[in-house]
Amino acid sequence: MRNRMLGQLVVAAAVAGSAACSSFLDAPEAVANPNQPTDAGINQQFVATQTALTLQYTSDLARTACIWVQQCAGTERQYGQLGMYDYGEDAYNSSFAQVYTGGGLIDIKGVIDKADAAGDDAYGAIARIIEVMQIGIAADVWGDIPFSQAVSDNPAPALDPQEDVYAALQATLDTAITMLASGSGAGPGSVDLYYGGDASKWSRLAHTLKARYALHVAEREGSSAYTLALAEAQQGIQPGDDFLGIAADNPQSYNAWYQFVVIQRAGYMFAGRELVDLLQQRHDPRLDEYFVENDNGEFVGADPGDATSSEFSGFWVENAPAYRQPIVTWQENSLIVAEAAFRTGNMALAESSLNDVRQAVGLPMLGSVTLEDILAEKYIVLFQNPEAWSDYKRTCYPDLTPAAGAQAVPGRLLYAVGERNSNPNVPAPAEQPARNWNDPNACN
Amino acid sequence: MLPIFRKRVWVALGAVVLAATTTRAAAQQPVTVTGRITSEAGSPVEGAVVSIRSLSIGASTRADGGYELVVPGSNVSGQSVVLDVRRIGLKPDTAIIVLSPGTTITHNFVLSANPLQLGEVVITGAGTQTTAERIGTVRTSVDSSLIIQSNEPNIVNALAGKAAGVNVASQSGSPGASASIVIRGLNTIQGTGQPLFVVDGTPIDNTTFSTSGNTGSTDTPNRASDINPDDIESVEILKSAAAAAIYGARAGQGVVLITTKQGHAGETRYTLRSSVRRDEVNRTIPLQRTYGQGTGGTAATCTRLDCTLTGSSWGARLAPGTPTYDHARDIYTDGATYDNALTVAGGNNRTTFFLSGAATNQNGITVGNHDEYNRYSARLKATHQLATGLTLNANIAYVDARGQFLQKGSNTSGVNLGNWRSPPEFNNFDYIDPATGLHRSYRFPNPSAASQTTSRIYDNPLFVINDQDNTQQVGRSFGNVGADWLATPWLTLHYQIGADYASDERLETLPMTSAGYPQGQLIRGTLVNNQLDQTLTAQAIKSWRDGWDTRFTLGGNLNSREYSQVLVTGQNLIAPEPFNLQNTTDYTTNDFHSLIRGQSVFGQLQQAIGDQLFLTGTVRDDGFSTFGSSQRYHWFPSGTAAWTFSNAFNPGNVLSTGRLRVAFGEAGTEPGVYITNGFYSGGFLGGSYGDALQASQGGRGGLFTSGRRPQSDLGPEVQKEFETGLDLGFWNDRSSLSLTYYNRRNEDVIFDLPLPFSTGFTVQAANAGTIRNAGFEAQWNITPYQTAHANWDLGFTYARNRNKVLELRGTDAVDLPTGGFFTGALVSAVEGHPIGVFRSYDFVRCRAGDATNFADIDGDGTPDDINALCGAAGAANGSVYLGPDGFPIDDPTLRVVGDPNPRWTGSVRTGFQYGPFKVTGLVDIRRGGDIWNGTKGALYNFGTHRDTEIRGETVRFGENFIPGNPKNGHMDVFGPGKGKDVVIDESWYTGLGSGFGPVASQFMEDAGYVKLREIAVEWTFKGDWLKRTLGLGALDLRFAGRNLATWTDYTGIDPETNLAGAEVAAQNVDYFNNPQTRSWILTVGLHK
Repeated sequence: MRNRMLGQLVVAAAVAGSAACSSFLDAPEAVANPNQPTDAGINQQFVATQTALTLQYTSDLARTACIWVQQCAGTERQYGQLGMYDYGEDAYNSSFAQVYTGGGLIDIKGVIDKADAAGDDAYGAIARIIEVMQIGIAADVWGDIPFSQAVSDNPAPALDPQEDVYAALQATLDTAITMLASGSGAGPGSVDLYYGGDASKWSRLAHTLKARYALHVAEREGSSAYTLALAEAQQGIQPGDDFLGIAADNPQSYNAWYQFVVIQRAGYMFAGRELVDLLQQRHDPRLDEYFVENDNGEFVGADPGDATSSEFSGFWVENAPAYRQPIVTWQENSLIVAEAAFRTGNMALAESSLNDVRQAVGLPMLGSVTLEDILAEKYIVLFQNPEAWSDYKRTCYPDLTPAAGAQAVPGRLLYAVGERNSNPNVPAPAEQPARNWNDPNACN
Repeated sequence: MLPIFRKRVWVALGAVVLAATTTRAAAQQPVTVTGRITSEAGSPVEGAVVSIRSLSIGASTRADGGYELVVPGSNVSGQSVVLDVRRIGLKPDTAIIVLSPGTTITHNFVLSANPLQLGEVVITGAGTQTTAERIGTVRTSVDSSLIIQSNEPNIVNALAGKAAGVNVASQSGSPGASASIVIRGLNTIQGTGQPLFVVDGTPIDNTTFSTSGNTGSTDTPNRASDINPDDIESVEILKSAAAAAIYGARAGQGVVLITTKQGHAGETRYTLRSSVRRDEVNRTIPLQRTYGQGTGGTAATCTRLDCTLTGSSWGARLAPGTPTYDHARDIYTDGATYDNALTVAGGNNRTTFFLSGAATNQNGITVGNHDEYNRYSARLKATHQLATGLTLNANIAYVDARGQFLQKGSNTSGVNLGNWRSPPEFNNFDYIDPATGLHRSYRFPNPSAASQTTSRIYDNPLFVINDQDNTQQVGRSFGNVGADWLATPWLTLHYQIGADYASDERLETLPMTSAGYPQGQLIRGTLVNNQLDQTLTAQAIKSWRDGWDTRFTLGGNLNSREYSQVLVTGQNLIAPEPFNLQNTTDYTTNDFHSLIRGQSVFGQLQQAIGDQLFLTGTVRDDGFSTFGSSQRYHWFPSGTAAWTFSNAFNPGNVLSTGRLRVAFGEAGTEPGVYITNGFYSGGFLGGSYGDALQASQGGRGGLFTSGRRPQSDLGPEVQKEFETGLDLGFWNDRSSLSLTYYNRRNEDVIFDLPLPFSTGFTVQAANAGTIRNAGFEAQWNITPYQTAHANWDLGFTYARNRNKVLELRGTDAVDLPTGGFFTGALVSAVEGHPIGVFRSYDFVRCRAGDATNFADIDGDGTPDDINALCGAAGAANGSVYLGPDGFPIDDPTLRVVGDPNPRWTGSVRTGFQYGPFKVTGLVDIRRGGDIWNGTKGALYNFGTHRDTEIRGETVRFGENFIPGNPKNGHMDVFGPGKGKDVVIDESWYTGLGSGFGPVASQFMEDAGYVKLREIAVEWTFKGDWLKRTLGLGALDLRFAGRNLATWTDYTGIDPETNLAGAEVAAQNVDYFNNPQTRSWILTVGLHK
């Protein structure tokens, strides 16, 4: 009797179990990921795109540029190798990915789509300017890049010629400037961590960027590029409105340079001899704004790949985790005006624009200026800024001695192996050009 | 249609229960059955189980081989019953006895050896069992004595060298370090390659999870190590898909079935086993003690407070008499392990019990008491016969495992990174600055009082050992309760509900001044694992006539696995201590929860034909919540045939037993949890060197699109395997030989298919890989000498496996999880190569037939055709090109430069017994396979490796200098620099010869070894005086050595090492790993 009851219980349990089965596997608690949101609003996506932009302009690419233009020196392990222009095809995977993936183009497009759908021109314009900066730096270092087919349904986006990419960026900046001028839309307001939603500041930034990218094609296009750069820079950023990277005094927001040289890779990088010597020779007050004394109380910079690390000066940013790294400044803008004016024959404007910067940094005014005065000033102003590499490739100033055993400072980066492995449009390293379209000639 | 089918299975299961009835027996006087069991050679057999199965009565034999069964009067009716005796390793026997009320029956048995284990009852998983000769796949079992003999606290380590095709590798010799077990080669890309562990029918967790990422962090236990090895009766390893198919989508990496000991009716038995183990470091890194800290041959010194020094030892030759320190050895001392286990087992004819308690206390080989692992466990296993045919059983274990660990690996706060990079003249033991009481390291020797949050660049190893606090505390209970009901003589029902619940509390710290985070950091949190598993099976047996029977099993399984992980990283300590989150100013959280559900039905049909041919068919239909929404269910079939052809004819004396096996089956590997989902992340956006910004900034929440593209079509990985083999017994089975061939194809292997970044995503989970493993296994046992008093056994295993990644749809190569960490040596799956190969850069060399062999060797910006140059120079394939300066140059193409998979593995085991004395030994062999000696590469760069002592010497590449291995080896060279004298110095070892340079190929070394894993002398004393004076049945004394000798060409620590242990499938990665140990063990066993 007892056995029979037990049997009935087992059957009841089995039937109950089977009845519950259809929802057992497909129930929301069984299939949904409880750890992550599945949707994001325009403001959240916009914040992430701003963060990604700061990182892109202050992390791997900025450090590489700084080493290769010899403002900095790679002194240890992978960075000692990088100083000798030796790096793996995988070294820039995260930088390349940042252009397009989370925080990059995919979310920038998300912001643009949401802003356009809401008819918010201010928001849409600002997102477009961020897109230009994210794509622009990619075109600067890799040349031909996926752009027109990127972040679409195309599983293997084609490489667009660098020339076309720069032209598209100029057009996008024009669109953004027009949209900002229309005055429609509330914009991001305080969610904008760079300019607090100030449309006029964004508009001036867009003009400076137009000037910057005009210079990037100057080797190909000659004086028309300088004419455009001059016209745009004259509507560019004004003192006090520099476009500065995001940083704050907490570990989630520390300046990326600070993170690298203090927290993550102490000893990998020190001051570069080229810049230290130049500043010393000019008695330039920026020497101890950029660098700190070495253990012997001196400012000493390293040659490329020099591994005698205890001798060299470190970086001032080591003491400033919350330092907002300059990305685009009025000083750069003013020096674009100076150079473009110089090259288009307006010496008075060249002189006044250069002297504006010299005055601001505490240097004596110059009576007459040479191109080298302007370029030297810009080389110093662009300390730790990836733009310094673009300038060097175009102007060949300063006259750098490449690292031992190399004939020239590299003209571009190898495509990230992560992209090459899965995108058949990207050539193997041996088939990649040594230089980009906009920079046909090596300096040495 | 499928859900309806499933419902029908459940209803059918219930129906057979209802249909069942039972009968009652009339009451009578009891019957006593006694006797003695001896071996063929005449020695008493202890621990054999004698039972009358039809009455569920059993007892085990004493040390003298005697047994006694009492059949209660209620069960006695003058009937004939079968008396059955079984012991592992001996052929089972039966006798028919007549139970006449009130009588005493004496029946002795003589059991013969049974190396082929025929007739033994074998647990085959998911509630099924059968006898060994019916199994159509090769059987791999390890019994308790072999596990105890290994002296390994971790059950996985105890399996090393025990079974052909089962490769075990421990992470390091640290207490609590994980051990990886890979069966028949690696079959997966995304997973860990670890098999499913099942204890007494209930799956248990065997995760390895390091607190802060497995390339750094600490050594970490694999959770199967929570099992007390003393509790284990036997381990069955299901190697083939055909055997494992009954576990469906969880069995694709094999299954390890563990059966714990149980009590038997009769006298209560007590066993106390205590052992003391002394551990010492077995192999160390060769370091130089000639040159001091500095660069360019100049000593680096600094006297100023807070000065920083170079990390290198490229300084001046140390003046004679300068004290130097042996950094390779000086932080190691003797470690000790104390192991105490008590078991009590017994029962009567209705109730049995097994109770155990054990304590294992390990103090590792590093100085001080900061590498410790302590495990306390208790288990109660009991059965009670509630009514005739109805038995309830319960089996519950509780484990408390807590350890203190040292940080390791690629971690500037790891113990050996700073240690082995230290210049020889720096005494790491003076790690506290006398003036300030603060941490000093060789790169930061003069701390000021203000340097409390300044990085020491590389932490002093003594600071790491003494000042960090890295702990793990696990409380775990696991076990099951269930019922067996012999509903009718032909139908058995079995129900079991099991649970495995573990809470694991973690703390990992970086005190102030740590290189890893100078402001101080701690990670605190809890991992909770909770698995529930229910199985209901019905087994029907129909005997048609002698030797012809049919067995049908139908079962259902419901499984749920819940995991929760809350880890909080607190940064910026306010006061140096305590390591408490309130004492930090900033927190980041890692809060993760997951739930996986599985629902399955399975069936098995077995047909015995004439007691010689056995056919088995199995099918499992698995549903998992981790499968994509369109692929919720998957079928796993298998079929096997076993033919004992020696039963068909009398094969004679030489070939006494012969068996042929053929099997085909499918098993699966389920996708990782949530890899089908897309989402937004609020995490960090990062650069290549750990510099990162959180998406949210300025108090504004930020979310970015996850790099994972959603995928709804994901199904399980499917393993299809064909296996065939022969089991042969010779000379009355004194020798046995088992040969097996298998060929398995893993299709739909899941990996995160890398997408072009320019699509906006980085990966998408896809069933896109195909991997083949094919191999051959042999096991040969022989007893060359056997008398009543002496016995000599020899056993050999051999296994070779060939692995190949046949297809990676959509990509040429994909890195294994965390295998992509080291840019110098990616661990990857590459189409056309074995899985887990190392990818890196090599020197420019001749590569016959490789159309991609181009490199710019003259620096003109145009790649040159290297193979054409080789042809012109008549250089042999593989020759390294030497430039005009006499040095090789690096090839910019990423290539496969090493393969960690062994050519073959094997073992030799022997045991010699003479009376009470026994000597046993086990030699474990691994031939071939590469290991990445990343440690050496780094130490070359820093000039502390002994090889760098040749600095300043003039050599010729390929003649008397080989990169990575200057003392030996062979390298053909060609090119303009051939035969040119070059000076090997700092510029070579910090340039192309450095581990931080691109050419990791020079640090690939042969990982082969021959190991003396076990050797022991044992003395067992039994006798009357022992009984009279101490009240003991037996006493044994054992003196053993563990891992005493390792013969290898590897120039690093022990080649059995792996940076991330069992946490990842990537094997043979050595980057500042903790070393291995060898041990001496003294064990005393008392038996009552």
